Amino acid sequence: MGKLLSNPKVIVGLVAALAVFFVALAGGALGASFGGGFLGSPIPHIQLAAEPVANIGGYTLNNTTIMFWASGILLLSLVWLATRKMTEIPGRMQGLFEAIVEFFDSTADSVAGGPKAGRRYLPVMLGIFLIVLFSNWLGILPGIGTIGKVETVAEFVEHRVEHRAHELDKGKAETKLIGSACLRPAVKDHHDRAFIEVLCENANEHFVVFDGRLIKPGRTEQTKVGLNQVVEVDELLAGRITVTEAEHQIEEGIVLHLSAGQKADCKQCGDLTGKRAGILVPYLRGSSTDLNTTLAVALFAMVAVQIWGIRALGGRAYAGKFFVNPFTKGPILTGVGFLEMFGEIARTISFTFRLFGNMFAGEILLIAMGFLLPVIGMLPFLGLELFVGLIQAFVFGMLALVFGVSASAHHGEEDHGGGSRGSHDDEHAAAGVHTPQTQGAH
Amino acid sequence: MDGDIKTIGAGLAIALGALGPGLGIGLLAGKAMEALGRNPEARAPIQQNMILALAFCEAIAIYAFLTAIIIVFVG
Amino acid sequence: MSALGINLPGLITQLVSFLILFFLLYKLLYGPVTKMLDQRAEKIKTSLEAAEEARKQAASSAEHVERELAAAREEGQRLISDARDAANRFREQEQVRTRQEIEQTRQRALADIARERDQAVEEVRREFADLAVTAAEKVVGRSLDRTAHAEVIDRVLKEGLVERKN
Repeated sequence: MGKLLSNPKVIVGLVAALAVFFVALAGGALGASFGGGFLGSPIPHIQLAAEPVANIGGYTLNNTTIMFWASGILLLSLVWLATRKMTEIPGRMQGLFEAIVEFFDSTADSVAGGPKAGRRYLPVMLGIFLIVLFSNWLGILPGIGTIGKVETVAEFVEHRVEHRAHELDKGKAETKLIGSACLRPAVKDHHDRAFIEVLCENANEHFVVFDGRLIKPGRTEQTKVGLNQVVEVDELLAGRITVTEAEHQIEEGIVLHLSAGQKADCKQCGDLTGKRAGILVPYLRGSSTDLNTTLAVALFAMVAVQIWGIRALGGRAYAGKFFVNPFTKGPILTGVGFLEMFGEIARTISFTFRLFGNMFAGEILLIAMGFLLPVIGMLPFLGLELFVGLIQAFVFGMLALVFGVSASAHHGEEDHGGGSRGSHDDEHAAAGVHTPQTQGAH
Repeated sequence: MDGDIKTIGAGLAIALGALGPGLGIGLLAGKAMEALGRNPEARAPIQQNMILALAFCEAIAIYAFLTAIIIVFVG
Repeated sequence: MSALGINLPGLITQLVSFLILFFLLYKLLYGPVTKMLDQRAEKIKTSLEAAEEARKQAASSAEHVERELAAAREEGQRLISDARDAANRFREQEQVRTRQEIEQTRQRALADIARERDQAVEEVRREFADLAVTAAEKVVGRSLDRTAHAEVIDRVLKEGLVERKN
């Protein structure tokens, strides 16, 4: 140890690492409390729904959809490279994909019980694994989720007003749960009514104050303003300004006033009034952080499970798992059948939210680390996210396999866990992998 | 007031929701280590199953986290 | 639902994209790779079987060769010993024959010598008798009958020969 410390290179390295650490610490959110915070990254607008980036003929293209296509194209090109010229003695790419396929083949066989028994489940399992894996991994590339266009207040409001006015045109006045304070039945014009409702509803929606085209790095937490600081929503509701005047204020998109708390909080921010406000809409966002994607994969998996069940048992026998005649078999088994049916739906939801939650939480974790300890804080968590992405993709494929195997099993063979359906399946899945790695690992 | 209640709710959701999975992961890893100590040759399957089970445990914490996120940003 | 981001157009887009991607993966990855894996497994199986067969064949042929070799060795051994016996026999025969020949030659030589000697002795005796007669004639002066004297001389010589022989 002493010998190591006397090495000048080691000393320089240690000092440099410490310096980077302290610079990052001072530049981050903690440092901001003591007058630092010069490295503070902007906190992107956190929302569960995917952000629309383009509107093509009434269809809104989400950033997650673009990302899904991108990951799909990347995956397909890699696969194409690997299987373009198949040879008996595999090259690197071919070897990689062959190893993946072989690993899942042996896993499926060990769960389904018997050589070649897993072949039925293999394509779905493999497809889910690869697609989900690529969606997960591409989502944590740098720049994804942080590079995007600035949506101005006017654009933000416009989209929502259009949508709401369309609903009103179709006569769906009460479809949305809107606070009664925002309901203004007195306004007959659909556009105006929609405008007022949207403003009222999103009065506390937060925008970031920025100069020019770029959102300035740093101090973003303190440079947020609400929609009601750009438009005088209260005045509009009270009828003191007209809709046209409010629209004009939105078009300007300039911060009109600051609350007293904000002035006290951020003395070094300078005066924010008179600057423009907007939201960062990232062009790209990891496709696994969109519930639509995860729900689509989950639906696919569950439909595949049903098909496997019907194929293995036949339509009548498979339906017999869910619909049990209470007069011949007793009401308890009927209840169990209903629980099974509910279990299928619960599995779909569990699939959806497990993947979505992990990936979305991972993204937020990365953002938070970048906020607390800029530049270096993310590094270990990037590794963690790579791992989580892999594990979640594997778990997704694995569960599809286990559900498929249990759906194909005959009624009598299966051990019914009754109410604790979900946890039962999870145990099943964990116990299902016997020795999938014994061939590959060593 | 509304925001305060929401904040408390979100905090409680993730705090209580992380409690169970935390205990679960601890138990799980402990048992896995025990098994590993007892049977070191079975390292590969033990590790494999442990990681899978950890993912399931963690998923519960993730549900709680999602709930918190929904309370703060959506509700 | 809309706050969570789930909407029908988005869901349909993702679902359709996923299905297309899945189909392409099935065609591009699953089909060829499993085919190749099965093919290779089959090939390995057949080549293992072939190797086993070859091994068995080699083993059996080795055994065969061993047997042949042993037989050949035995045969050789037998031939060698036969040859040795024959040679021995031949040698003995030859020896015997040679010895007999030598003996015969010797006997013949001895007989020849004896005959020669007898002849020579006869001749000498005749000469000697003549000489003796002549000498005696000279000494006695022609008194003696030639034939009577020859008998006397003959008897004397015979007695002399018998004495010498003993």
